[in-house]
Amino acid sequence: MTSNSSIAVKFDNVFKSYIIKGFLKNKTTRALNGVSFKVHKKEIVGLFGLNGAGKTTIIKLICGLLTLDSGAVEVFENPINLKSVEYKKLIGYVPELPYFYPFSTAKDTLNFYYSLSSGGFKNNEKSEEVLNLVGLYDRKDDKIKNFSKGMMQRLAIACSLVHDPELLVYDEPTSGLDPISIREIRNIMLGLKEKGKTVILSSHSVSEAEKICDRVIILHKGEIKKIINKEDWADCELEKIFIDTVAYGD
Amino acid sequence: MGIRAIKSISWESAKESLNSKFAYLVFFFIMILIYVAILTGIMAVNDEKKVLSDFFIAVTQISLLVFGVFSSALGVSQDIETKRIYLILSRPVKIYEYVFGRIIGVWLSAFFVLFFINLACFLVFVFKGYFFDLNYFYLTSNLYFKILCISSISMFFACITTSSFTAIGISVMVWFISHFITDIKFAFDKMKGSVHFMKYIIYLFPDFSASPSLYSNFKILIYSFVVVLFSSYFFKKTEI
Repeated sequence: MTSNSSIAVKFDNVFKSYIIKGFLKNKTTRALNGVSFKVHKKEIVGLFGLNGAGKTTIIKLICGLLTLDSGAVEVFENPINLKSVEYKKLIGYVPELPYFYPFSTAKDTLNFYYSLSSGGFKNNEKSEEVLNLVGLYDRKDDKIKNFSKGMMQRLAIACSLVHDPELLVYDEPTSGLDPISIREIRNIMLGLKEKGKTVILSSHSVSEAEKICDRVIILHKGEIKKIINKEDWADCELEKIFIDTVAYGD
Repeated sequence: MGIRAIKSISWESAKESLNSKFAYLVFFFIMILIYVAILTGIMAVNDEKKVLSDFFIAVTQISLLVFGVFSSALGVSQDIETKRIYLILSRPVKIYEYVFGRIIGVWLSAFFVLFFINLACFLVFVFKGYFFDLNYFYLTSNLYFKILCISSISMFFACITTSSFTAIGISVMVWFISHFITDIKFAFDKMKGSVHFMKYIIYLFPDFSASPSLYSNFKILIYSFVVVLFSSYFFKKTEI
């Protein structure tokens, strides 16, 4: 299912609109307006933009949670559509503010998500391995209702890794976390890159992007305004580029 | 893949339904009703066995109806509200597998509730020294088929409206209408003019007014299956 091509994700002139249902008339809001970009294997790419820029829409399209209006999306050369789901084995996804069933234990939760990707089988060893990776091994038998926000986020990352995917898609992974938890999650993502995984993350934090991203895509009102490589930004300059692009981009 | 994904989701769904605060509330309600049944039975003097039996059937009906309708409506809408559905559907899981997994989970947990009430009834009968009539099992199993159907309808409306309140409200209305299908059909047959065509709408409702038989249960089962298929179809069209 993975290809020899160096491209992990490809967006080609993608348009996406949402229909907002009204009492008498429906309204259409354009979320993506002809978006095209490529993500290479083994790189960390950040999606940046203000609220409503289209970051989450891009992430949902990659994960096959939405349908496109027009254009094409490919993940490891597999075209995305609602009929095919097999390519999803290659993707690990963490939504913004993940929710888990509170009465389940961390290990049972991982076994459940593993079973969905593996065709119904459980793998206790793999679940324990990823719990160890995210630092939750000692809490593996604890109920999730006793977990802090940071622990929930780490558990969500464990869920995204349990089936050993090639591409990791994280939507605001450090949102609302304390500095120590942010650093832990950053280290996990850097560790994943070392293991040869491709990571796409959306974030509001420019300082985070500077520390971990190889490339940054700046989105504004559903359009890509700029794609910047790591070499192109010096220390603390990314924030200036971002503000200039978003504020004066129109 | 399909069956295994459905099995995983249904098992998780059953665990959730039985561990929810709402399930505890239903169990508490059942315990109170069983206590009331025993007291009422004592007051009935000569007809104690019949009163107990009727009371337990009523308890089963109310508890399973509330449990089935609420669990199937809340399960889907909570998954949407908490965005947990994204975590599930970002895996290689098709929408029909999710919908079938969810509803089978509700059916399994409803079966557990039925088993629990039947066991309580059996123990009360044994304790009181009455012979336990196997016809009671027959009546409650017929009731279970109706619950399969109404929980599927509840799931259907939860899938197309993504609102648990709407789903619960409509399902309860369908439950009541479906118990009077024979009478409503008769009334429509007597009407003339444009209203006469209204009788065809009645065929959209399941028929709970028919006397319980293997054939009527089979019809209800097929109806439930079709409703779940439609739920999957419409849920696929809904942008969550």
